Amino acid sequence: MLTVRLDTPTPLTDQIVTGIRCGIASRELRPGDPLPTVRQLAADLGINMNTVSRAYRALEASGLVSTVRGRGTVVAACHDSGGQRAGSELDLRVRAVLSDARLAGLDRSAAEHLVNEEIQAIWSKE
Amino acid sequence: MIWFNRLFPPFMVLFPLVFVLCTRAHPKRARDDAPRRMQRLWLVTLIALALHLVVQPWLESNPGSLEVLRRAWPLVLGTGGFMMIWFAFAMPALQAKHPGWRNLPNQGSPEPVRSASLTPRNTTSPISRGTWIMGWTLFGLCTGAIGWAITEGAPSVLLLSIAWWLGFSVYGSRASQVEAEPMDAAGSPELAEAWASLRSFKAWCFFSIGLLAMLGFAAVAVVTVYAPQSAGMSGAVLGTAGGIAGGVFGTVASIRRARINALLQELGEREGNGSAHVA
Repeated sequence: MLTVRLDTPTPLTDQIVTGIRCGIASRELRPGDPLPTVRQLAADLGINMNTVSRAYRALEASGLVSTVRGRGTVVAACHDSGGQRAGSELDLRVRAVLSDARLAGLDRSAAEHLVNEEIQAIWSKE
Repeated sequence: MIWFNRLFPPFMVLFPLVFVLCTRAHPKRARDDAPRRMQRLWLVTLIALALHLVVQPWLESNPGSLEVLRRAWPLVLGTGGFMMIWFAFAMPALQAKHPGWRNLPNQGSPEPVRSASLTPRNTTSPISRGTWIMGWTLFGLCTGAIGWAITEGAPSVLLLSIAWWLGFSVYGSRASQVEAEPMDAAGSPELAEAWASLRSFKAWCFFSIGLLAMLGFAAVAVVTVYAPQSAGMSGAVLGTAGGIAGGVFGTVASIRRARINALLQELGEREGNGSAHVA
């Protein structure tokens, strides 16, 4: 399931990219699974097709999906993002997200609860 | 058939009203939108009727033009252009590009939270390959029967008609697979099942109506050869039956869609994200 919010400053393209990344990370989408067509996803979300198309191109550029003739866009077979280097980048991103959480007024237990919920969602299909 | 030309437009004016009455009992937002949509429907219907009143006498006084329009049967449906005019005006006015979301101009603020399934639907037809093969075989047989009937004096427009119905059937059953199907954020199985059921219903209706129309035209062609005096009446009966079947199909599909929209709204309220909408 992909959910986007129109009432946040985050661009819709980024939200779609993040949603599909989460789907792949949580094993909801497995290598070789086809994604919905651009037209279908745009119709279901009630957004412009170009927005979905840009998101798919960004996912393809990052190697998470690929376009296969006759099958459309499918989840790519391998998602190795570079081990140690990816880990240090993730440090920064997690710190930024947690900083945003604190600036938004969340206390420690609320932030922990939020993080644990997301961990549960992503690793539940391990 | 002039009586038919006179009666058909009023029937087509009344039918959308029946349609609205059948689909009216839905949540508040739909009722809020209803007056504006109703005004548009009345306006375009009256424009179409006015044009019809001008076009019809002109066509009757110009047999050559009438013949041209008759040959373009799929567009005018033998009603002096009324259907073409009505569709051209009314359908764009009523069309909701994304029936699940309120993001059309002048329809209030868009829904802030939207969800969609990540499962592609374009490859999941409820009509099996074997059934399609059966349909194509019947199409071949009907084409053969009509081709034979044309050599025996049946009107050649029958061939164009079944070609049109074939296109209608194939396009409709495929297009119904990829119509917008907004979901709730939690991906409720109940909602997914309701959409799948509606999708299957629409695909089968398009397929069946196309198939029955082809058989009907083949029957009319054969009747034209063996009992030419009954050909007009059998064509009128089949045409009316087809029109009623199409109307019932559209109304049932809309009622089911309205129920799904109500469920979507209920789920949205239950999940507390306000993501629901009723078109």
